[in-house]
Amino acid sequence: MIFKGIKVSEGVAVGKCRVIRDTFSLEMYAIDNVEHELERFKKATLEVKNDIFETIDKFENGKGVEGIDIQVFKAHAQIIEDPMLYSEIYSRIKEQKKNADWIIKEVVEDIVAKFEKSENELLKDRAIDIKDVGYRLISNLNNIGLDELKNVSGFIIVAEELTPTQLLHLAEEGVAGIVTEKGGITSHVAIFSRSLEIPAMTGIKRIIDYLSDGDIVVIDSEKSEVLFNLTDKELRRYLFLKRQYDKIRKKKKSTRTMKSITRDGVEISIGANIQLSTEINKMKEYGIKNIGLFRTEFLFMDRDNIPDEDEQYEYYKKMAQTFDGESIVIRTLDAGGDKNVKGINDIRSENNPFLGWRGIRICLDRPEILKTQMKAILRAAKHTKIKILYPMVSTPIQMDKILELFDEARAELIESKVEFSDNVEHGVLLEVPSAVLYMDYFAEKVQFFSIGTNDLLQFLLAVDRMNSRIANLFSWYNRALYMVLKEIVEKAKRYSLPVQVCGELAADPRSLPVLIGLGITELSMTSSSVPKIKLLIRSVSVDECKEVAEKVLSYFKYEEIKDFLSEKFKEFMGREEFLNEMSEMWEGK
Amino acid sequence: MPESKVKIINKLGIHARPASMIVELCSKYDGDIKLEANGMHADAKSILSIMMLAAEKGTAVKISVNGTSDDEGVLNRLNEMFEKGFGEE
Repeated sequence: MIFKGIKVSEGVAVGKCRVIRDTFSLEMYAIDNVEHELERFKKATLEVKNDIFETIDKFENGKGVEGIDIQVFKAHAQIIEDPMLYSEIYSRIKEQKKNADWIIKEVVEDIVAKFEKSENELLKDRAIDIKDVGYRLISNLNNIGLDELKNVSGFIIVAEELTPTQLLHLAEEGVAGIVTEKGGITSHVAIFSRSLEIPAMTGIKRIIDYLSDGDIVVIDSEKSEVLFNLTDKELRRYLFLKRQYDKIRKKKKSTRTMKSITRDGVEISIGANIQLSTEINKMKEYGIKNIGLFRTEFLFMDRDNIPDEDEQYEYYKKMAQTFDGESIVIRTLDAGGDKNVKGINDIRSENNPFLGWRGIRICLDRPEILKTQMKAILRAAKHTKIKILYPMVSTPIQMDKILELFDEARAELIESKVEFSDNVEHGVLLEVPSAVLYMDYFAEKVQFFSIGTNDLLQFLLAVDRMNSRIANLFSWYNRALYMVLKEIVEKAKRYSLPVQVCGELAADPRSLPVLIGLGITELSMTSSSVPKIKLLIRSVSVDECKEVAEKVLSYFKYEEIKDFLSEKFKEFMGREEFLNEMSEMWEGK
Repeated sequence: MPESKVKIINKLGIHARPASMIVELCSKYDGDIKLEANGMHADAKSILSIMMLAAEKGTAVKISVNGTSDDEGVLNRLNEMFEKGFGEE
């Protein structure tokens, strides 16, 4: 049988299942001694509260469990004391003279019903926190432990839903997978399983009715399926799939500690392109030491006001602190083009937004926006080295204005006696062809260059790459682009300034040897591309990359270049045994 | 009675985590601290009543503080929490 669900954590799992049911078969009965029942309830509340605080203490003493946010248990400690719960239970026991566990069940059900009625998905998900507290109280009153969660190493847990308390126990068990009927992608189960890398699916209605303990279950997150009653042949196929999946994941992670150096020992630094501070975890997983491009637009989008200096400072600071790497490249607000920022620009009013009011052009017309951002960056530079990258710069005058604004921003911070650091550098994002031709001017003003290959190529070819009618005119395998890159690298070298490639081209495996051959030593890309690019870097030498680049520049047609680079790519891939094994990792991605 | 109006800016709105941060602060004070959103009122010391506001991103919230030892101070700190999106995205 096949059930479709919502994938909340990736992976393939095959294993026996353990079905966790709500095992409370409670009975309602009348009580004579109300005082005694109230005492039982108070004692249970106290004991459960102490248990929760014990967990919190454990976390605060650094003995936390991965995948569990301690604030959840702080919330539980508040729920148990909440008048809507505590006082309500207390007074109902008094009035109705029924057993405490029954009343608890009723009150919890009432509150949960209100939550689950909500159209807010998140609120629905959080009904589980109230149930958790309720279960704990009832379990305490009935001396029920969490035995069903013991000895489940290697099992797939199947449940209607799982509470944070249950997850806390499962964390120590090493389960193979989790399937629940309820819970969305923001549920505790989802967060927990993702951070522990356990395959998990939710939203599969009534699955516990179909399964018994010990049944063999398969989770295939790729297809968002949970399967059981499979033939031996099918099971073997899934076991194979699981091994493949685990191997790739392990391989990706195994690159974490590898150095990014060519066969002949030249270091090619790889940074990450990110737009959310939460992406830093992924960076750590792959051992990435630099943020090569932090796009700040996200901070400005989906809101009604422009974030002020303090808010931006807090955000950059948090980033600098969670990431303990070497430096962060922060690109100043790059609105326009295809990005609308409420209260700043409206691309619908422009005929040609990609050539219109965007990037630094907006910021220089609205200098307070740029100055605020500069001040926040200067303050955050106390915590790490920050390189400020200016997008869409196309003339020398713009560069002068940027630096004037920067001096003003700095002077204003001094005047208002706010602490900051001068541990910052300036850089131009080379994406407008004219900027490349003005590099001699910029070189006197900035400390680094970065190449935005997507826009650079689009402007170079005058091709809108979203327009399918002319898509055949757009290609990375392009002599015009390589010639410009060559020019950039040579100019940068003349002025002894570093230059980095941060566009999509940096993560294109076929282009990589050309970039290295042209003399590029700094790349930045999305984190998930880093493992494979790193492996490729390790399998080539700078000398042969130079040969590749030279050869490529002798071709004039896209097709010739692409064929040649594809052939070379195959050759490099075939070199190391591990690269061969990893061919799956490259496919399509 | 000091009052303010704030907007929820964090992506997930006031779910358990932000609600528990609010309660953590407000429980330290005697007096009335109320939140109002979506036409409902909540006691800022009750995590369940705050969560029941089901206040999502973009919702306007009215905060009122009355009878604590430092009404303005409490109000400012609550405003700040909202403005910083409870330290979330």
